[in-house]
Amino acid sequence: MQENSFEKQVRERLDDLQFQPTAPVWRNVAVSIRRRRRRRIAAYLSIAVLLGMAGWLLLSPHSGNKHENRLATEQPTEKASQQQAQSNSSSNSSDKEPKVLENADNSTQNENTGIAVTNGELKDRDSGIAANDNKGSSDSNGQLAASSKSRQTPSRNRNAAVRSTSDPYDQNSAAVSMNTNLAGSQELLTNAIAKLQHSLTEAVIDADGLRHPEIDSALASNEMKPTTEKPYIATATAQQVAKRKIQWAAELSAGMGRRQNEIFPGIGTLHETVDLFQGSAVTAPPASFGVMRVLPSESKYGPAFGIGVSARIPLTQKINLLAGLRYQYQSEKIKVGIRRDTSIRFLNAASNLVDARAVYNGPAYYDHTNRYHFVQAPIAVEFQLNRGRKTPIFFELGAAPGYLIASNAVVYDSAFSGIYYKDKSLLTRFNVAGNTALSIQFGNKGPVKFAIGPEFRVNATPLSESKYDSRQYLMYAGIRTRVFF
Amino acid sequence: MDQLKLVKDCLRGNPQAQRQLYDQYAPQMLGVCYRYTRSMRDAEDILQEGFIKVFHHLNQYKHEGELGAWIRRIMVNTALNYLKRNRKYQEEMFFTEEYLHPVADDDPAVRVQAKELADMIRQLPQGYQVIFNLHAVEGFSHVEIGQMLGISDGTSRSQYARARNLLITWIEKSSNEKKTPRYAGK
Repeated sequence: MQENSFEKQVRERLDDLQFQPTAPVWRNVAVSIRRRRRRRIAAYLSIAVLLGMAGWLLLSPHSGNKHENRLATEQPTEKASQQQAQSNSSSNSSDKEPKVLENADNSTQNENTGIAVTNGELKDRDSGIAANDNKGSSDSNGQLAASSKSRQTPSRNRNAAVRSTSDPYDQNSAAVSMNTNLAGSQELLTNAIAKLQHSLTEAVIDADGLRHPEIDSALASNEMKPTTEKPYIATATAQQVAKRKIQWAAELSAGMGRRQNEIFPGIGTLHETVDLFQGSAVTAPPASFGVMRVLPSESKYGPAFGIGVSARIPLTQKINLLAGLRYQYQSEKIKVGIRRDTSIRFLNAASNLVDARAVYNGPAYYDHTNRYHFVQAPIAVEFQLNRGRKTPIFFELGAAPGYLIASNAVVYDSAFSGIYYKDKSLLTRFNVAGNTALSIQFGNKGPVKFAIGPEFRVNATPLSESKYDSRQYLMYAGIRTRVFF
Repeated sequence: MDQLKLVKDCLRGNPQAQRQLYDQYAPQMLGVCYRYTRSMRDAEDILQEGFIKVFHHLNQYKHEGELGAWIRRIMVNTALNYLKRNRKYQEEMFFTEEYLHPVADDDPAVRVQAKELADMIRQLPQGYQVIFNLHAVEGFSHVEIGQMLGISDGTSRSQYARARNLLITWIEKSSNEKKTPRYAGK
């Protein structure tokens, strides 16, 4: 631009233009800074706790083979009594029994390997927390250092367990000692999570320690109530919220899911391993049925997806309520025996007489996919974590009551040395799932907005009433997309 | 206090430093906001919103230019957003495609006080006012203004020329009134 003297003079004149703002302007600015700082700390706190819980859930040694381990250690005494009772088939069964034990020991070794990974991840998490806290208060660093030290103790115990398990002559005793160690390490990990929550809470208190004396005195003297003369923030926020309309969205989610023992350790029902093979059969086992005891299968991840509509209702500028309706498909893969089309009668887990025409019996060599079809009505509260409206990042927490509309799932029963069969009467139709998600939203300037992010869900209601299979809680993790209209 | 240290203290959440930064720049920035609005109350609203943004985005300040210029840029953007979303100003912020209006060649001496000049700018129609502020005072090119307001650079030039001519007329009129003694007509 060619600068001429008029523009230059105007600029010079206006550079001198100054006005003293009134006092409420700074008060409102200061309140906003403080409020935002608190909100950010609260968001970090809840994310840290949720990640900790999710990590614990996913890496928990409970979720896999606890059932088999416990039974594996019990097996030798049962084997002895069985050998006496079944003299004809003793050679066959003794050939097979060691295989079961070997498998169980392998599974304990795998579990140890899993623990080693868990330790590595815990270290990473520690360093991440330390990095975050460097920005915050120095006090919390000390506390976190202490908590990371306390975590090192169980890791040494676990390494010892790994070493002892590698000894080929003492595998069973190592498995037993590992179970003891795991129980101890779980307790220590729970304590560590509690310490993490405590230290983050203290970080909040530290942040509050940076109070502005003027604001505090104003708050104390009630000066900062919405003023009648200049209600800046109150009116602006109210207008903006009022301007917002309910947003409708179509959503699609895809991921993986499976069943697991508990929602979180100590929360939910962990079925005790009963003496599975006391027998609830009413008819004699058919001749074709195997005599080898078959335990409930491990549940492996299967594909899952959900599709639905939801409404976003603004509560405040940064908090929304989400409600909707969704169809959810979940599946899991289990191992079952060979299918036998025969008629057997037995008392199921709910003590009802069952007349089954098709059951899976014998060594669990065959894959079976359990499919579940739900209709859910999710409701959640959504918090915006970042500033601005261009690409908002939301954290979501909610629940999804649902109804199981159809399933081909087979359930386990201890009758006839362990069978899988279809029994819809045992499945819980109504259920509730806890839900958490993170999402980033794009296209805010256009007519269609698009949000994408990870979603994690776990059922709080047991899937069936079976007392024989403790893996009753469906878990789902996936990526969800929403298109807002 | 050194500017670098002041920014660092603000980023650490030191309330005294935050207050100091506000005290240092708020009067000047209120002057900026004042030029874009019709009332002091609206100007203070923009100032408040702008300073909230300043403190929240202070970590993005790279110490490459003047802190005052960086804050001023935030204030201008906040003012434009405020005008766009405020119904009172929306109706006046309507830009029509116009033929290029000739800019007057004369460069009269601006013999009015800053406040008086700012009040004259505020008397301009809202569209003229914004474009005049952005071009003559903030130094944005017409292409940049076009991108900021979603109009063509030709429209920006045309509106600026009209605003400039109008302002020159008012300034000259005001200067003449001052030159002429009140008793001259008697």
